[in-house]
Amino acid sequence: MILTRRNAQAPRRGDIPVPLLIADPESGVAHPRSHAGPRPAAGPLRNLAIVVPILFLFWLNCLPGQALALSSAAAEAPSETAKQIAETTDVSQGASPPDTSAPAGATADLKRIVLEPTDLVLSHPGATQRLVVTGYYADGTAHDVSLLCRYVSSAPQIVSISSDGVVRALAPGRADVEAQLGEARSSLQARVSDQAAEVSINFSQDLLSIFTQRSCNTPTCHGAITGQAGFKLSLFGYDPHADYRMIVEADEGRRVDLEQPEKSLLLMKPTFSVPHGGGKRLTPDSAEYGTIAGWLKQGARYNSEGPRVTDIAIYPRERILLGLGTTQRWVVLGTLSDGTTRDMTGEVKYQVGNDSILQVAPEGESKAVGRGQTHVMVRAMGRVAVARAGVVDEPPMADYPPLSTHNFVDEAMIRQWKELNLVPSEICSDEEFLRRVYMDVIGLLPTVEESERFLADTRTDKRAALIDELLERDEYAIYWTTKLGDSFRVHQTNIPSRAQGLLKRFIRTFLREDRPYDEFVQEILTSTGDQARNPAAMFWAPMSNTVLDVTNVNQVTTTVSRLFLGIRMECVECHNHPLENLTQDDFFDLSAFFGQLRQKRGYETYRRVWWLDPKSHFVHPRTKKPVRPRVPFDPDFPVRASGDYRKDLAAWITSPENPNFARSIVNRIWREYFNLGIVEPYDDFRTTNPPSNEALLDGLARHLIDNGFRLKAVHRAILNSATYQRTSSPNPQNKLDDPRLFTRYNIRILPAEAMLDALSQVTGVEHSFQVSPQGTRAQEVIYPDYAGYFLSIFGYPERLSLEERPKEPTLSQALHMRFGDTVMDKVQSDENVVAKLLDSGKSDREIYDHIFMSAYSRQATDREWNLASNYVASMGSQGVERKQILDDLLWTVINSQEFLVNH
Amino acid sequence: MRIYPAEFSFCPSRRDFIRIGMASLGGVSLASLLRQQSALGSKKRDLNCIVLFQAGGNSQVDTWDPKPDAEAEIRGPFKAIPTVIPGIQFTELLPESAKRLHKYAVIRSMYSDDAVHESAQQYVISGTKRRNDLVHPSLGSVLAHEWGSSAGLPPYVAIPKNSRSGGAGFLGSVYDPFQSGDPNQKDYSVKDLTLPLGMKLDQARARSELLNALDSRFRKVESSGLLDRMDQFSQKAHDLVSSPAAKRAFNISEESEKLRDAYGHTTVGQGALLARRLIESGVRVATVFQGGYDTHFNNQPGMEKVNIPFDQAFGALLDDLENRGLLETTLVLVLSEFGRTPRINNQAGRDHWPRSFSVALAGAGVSGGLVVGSTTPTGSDPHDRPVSVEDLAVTVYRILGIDPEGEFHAGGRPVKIATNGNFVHELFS
Repeated sequence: MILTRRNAQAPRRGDIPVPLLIADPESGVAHPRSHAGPRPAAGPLRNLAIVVPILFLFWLNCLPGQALALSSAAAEAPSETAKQIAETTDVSQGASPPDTSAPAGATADLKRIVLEPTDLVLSHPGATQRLVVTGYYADGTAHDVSLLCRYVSSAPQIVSISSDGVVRALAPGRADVEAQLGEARSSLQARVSDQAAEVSINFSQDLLSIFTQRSCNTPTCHGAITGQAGFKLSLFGYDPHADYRMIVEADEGRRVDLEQPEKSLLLMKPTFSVPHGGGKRLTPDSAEYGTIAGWLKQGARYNSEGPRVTDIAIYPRERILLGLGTTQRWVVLGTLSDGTTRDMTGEVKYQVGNDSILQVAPEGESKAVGRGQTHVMVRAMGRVAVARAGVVDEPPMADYPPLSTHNFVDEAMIRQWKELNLVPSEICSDEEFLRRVYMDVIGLLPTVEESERFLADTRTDKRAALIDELLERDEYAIYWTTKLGDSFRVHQTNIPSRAQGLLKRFIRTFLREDRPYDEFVQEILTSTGDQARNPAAMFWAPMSNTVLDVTNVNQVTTTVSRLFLGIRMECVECHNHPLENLTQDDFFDLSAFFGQLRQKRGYETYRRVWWLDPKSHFVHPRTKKPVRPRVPFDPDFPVRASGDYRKDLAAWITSPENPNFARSIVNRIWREYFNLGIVEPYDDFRTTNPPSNEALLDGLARHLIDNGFRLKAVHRAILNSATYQRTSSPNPQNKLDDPRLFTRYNIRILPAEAMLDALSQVTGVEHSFQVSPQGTRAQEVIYPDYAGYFLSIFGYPERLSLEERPKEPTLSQALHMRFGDTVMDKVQSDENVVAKLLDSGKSDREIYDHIFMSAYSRQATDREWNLASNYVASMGSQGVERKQILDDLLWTVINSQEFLVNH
Repeated sequence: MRIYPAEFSFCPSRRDFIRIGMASLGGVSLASLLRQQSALGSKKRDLNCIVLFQAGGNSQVDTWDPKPDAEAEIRGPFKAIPTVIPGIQFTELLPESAKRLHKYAVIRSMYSDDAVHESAQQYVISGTKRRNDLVHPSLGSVLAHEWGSSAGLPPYVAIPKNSRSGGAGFLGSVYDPFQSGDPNQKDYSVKDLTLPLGMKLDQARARSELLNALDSRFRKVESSGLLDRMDQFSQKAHDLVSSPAAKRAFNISEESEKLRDAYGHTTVGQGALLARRLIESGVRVATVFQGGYDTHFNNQPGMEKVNIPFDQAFGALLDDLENRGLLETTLVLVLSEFGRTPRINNQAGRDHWPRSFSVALAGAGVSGGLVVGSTTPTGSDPHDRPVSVEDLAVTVYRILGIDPEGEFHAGGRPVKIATNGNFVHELFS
């Protein structure tokens, strides 16, 4: 979505120009409903519609520079104005003033209100905290009623509360604050302490991350060996002490001015207030500038002793907004190491997953701009928090259609769909299901006989029976081995061909026998020995240089965390994660588990031997000291003092207590069936990349654990769900739904191997691979190097890195399918399906029906046959041979979209 | 934490470079400054790029960077010969290139730290180190993405076929190169652009119409962006096949016998000729992959087998582009993923050597007749003005008018087109 910054066409107050993010109208056209604007609403909405502009004006008053968080004077002044305007507005509209009692209409259907946050420890008299109140209504909607409530403090001499929901500490002590709206009540406890401490800003944690994020310490800037323009920083901040000395002490301390922090070179240079070779890196109104200035004000110390922010939380945790233009206040509460809390609403950086749905101003006021679901993420001081936000344009449907619920998958989906007012597509036809499930489970099309048998079957449970049958077939194991082969990077460059076959067999056996996944992963993670005898050990090969006999421990760490935890640690390899609570030291701690892994040549080149050297350790690149292995996500997890550390890591990773292990594999399986993960990218689990449906992900993970980590149980749950069995064809409502909401099956091009096998099957002409025996299917080819042109253009991966298979169509595909030798050799073959059927004396229609059933698992409609028979007649009259005409029909079928995709 | 290569200890601000026979030594003349500015500031939409990729790793000592005074195991079997620029020598494997050094520049002080073909190729051709999680797009794919196609031809063509490294990586297969096939084959015709033997255009058209009818029924019930994009490619495929211009662009037999002889009847020779022909027709980037440089055994015949055809092709390409006025707007790059060991091994071969290697650049405003940087007396490491792979990438993108700091969004984070490099301004002196 392209966003343009414009002045608001919306109401503005006075002369203040209002920068507002507005969705580009052109891109918005793709989603007509999102531009419908707020409808005249029924019930509580009618009154809220009046409040919306008030909130909007309130927002205008909270623009940067007029911070309302930290001083109550600033906080109350604009809100007073807002209130006055609100009153005027309401009076002019004939409604009652909002601050005394809520409008009758709004309270009529109100069920309850919730005041958040609930526990406040204000650090000192004068401290303030914004609150947010959510009203829940009988029709299932929820609204921000912060400005409609009446607030009461139990001890006004200790804590005061303004009419727009800002608490202000007056004296040490305790008080309860209650919000009232109609009959509804909600309260919080506030304690005021007298430690007037500021959040301390530390050099190594807070400042270095800024230098890294702003690319100050890269090799081409001040991170160069010789520094830049006399100012040298350690590369990506690996030596904080040296950097501190350089900034605070070197050159007579000329870079910092503690008397006038804003005059420090440290701020003047990056803001380009004085010439700076690196250009402008900071603006004075950025949070980073504030952090650096704050650090200088606090005395530019390396390690301040004051309280640190240990956690941040955002309120409300989730919210569905009703109507475009609706506003919502978000409140961020920081918890400090001294036990106090702090209003960080105006200090955090807001980010929205999809800002064509919701837009957030720097002070936490947000506005609904499009229909759908997204997330609001906030971060500050190395901490992150996320809230879920949805936008609907109508209240939940009273007459929501009854939907089939086959299992927990459907329950989780339907709950979400109802909440977001989405109606999924119908359950698909037997024909659609049949072709889809064959393709998805075994990577093959059903044969004509299989199709006819299934379509003629009248049992009501025939779909479940087919799923069971397919999961027991060898082809299931073969097909899913190609998928796991992508992850294990089974490729000639990494693994000699003789060994590749052994690794594939190992994976295939695990899948066919449905051995527990936790056991399989443990076997891999603790593997050593001759890889021909213990193929699991080949797992290490792609992360190694088998010429130099060196294992790249960093790559092992990133691969293990990605494949088995769904966590990408590549960022933290070089610097602390900018979006996540992960540090570079966490990376080293994890790497240390693999510090003993060594390799050598075995009896043959393909029999590489992996072994552990107890004397060897992973060495910290900075301190040059051996690093003690530690599980960064669970620092107290016991790790043995010596021996094979990997066993402890494997135990931790595969434990049912580890939420990510089961979640990452079920997400991977889900993604194979729906083309998109519940978390997407499927191997990038982050607080800031939350699942589209948490209950679904957890339900699948729980199902896997309850079934002893046997993957087929998860396959069965997904395949038997009504969700999987919905048609890909859209209904009038869901055509533009986010594909991550799975209201219909997501269409995708067949994967390379499945495509080639399908082509061979439908044309009746086997494919010959360079070094494989005749009849070898594409999915079984051992040497991907010899896969050939067809597979390469359809996205057969090189497996050199953990890349995604390309999913997009290309020109080469279009050309090769139409005119390429792979296809033409089959379509024009004298031994193809057309030739065989002609030999057996079939009619044109019979031949066409056979091709249809074989390619689409359905019969040709009369209309389709009419078109085809016209072609047959027309070409026949031009003297084209019958075989050639029928070959042309075959050509049209295998080039049609219905064949090329799974739908 | 990454380990920083020893090369970082070279002072990057040293600007020594060999520059003999032209203007002033070490200084930059006004004329050259203007030329550099105009080359960098001009409208870049008309620029093109041809890459001759020496896959396998060319031996720097046996070609661009001879060491005639070194001992025999380093010097190797090939004699040094003078070039048109006094004081600069190549080996006898590159006589045609030597004659034309005034038309291009050589960087002798390239260095890399990757000694594995696949990843090293990808590093050199993308300018970004291979990562575990993301495959960085090749130069050609980035250009295809930034420039798009013109004249109905694919923007990026790989001759004879794509290598592992020439792909689009995270940009998606839309930006993969179109593969030409080997133009040196007898009766060469481009893959998949011709109708099956015996099929008339009318029949092909009727067949396509029937296909469209099938698809339109499917599209009545289905709706997805994917199907829309498939439609677009189908349309393009149809246009290409029915376009005489496209087929002509690939029809190398229209070139005169004399010119074809000049390029040499080799894959790299005819490939370079096809590259020029395609650029002339509207293709924006053409990469000619020439294999066979991986001479672990018997270096001498191996080097002769690949470098002699290359030399002929490169010389002919420079002349041809110049004669047609295309050299000003076409950047020609001669790249290799790494060099080869300066010392000949006990199987009379040379092994992989990323610590030093040479590349050449011509056209698009790059000054001719100069050599940037030098290597140590054994050719093992850069001596003067080391140029990193990142430096080269940043330079190439800037020459082509593309901001290397431009960002793609991939794998959930911003990724720059090329970064951590400094522009090699000496190429414009």
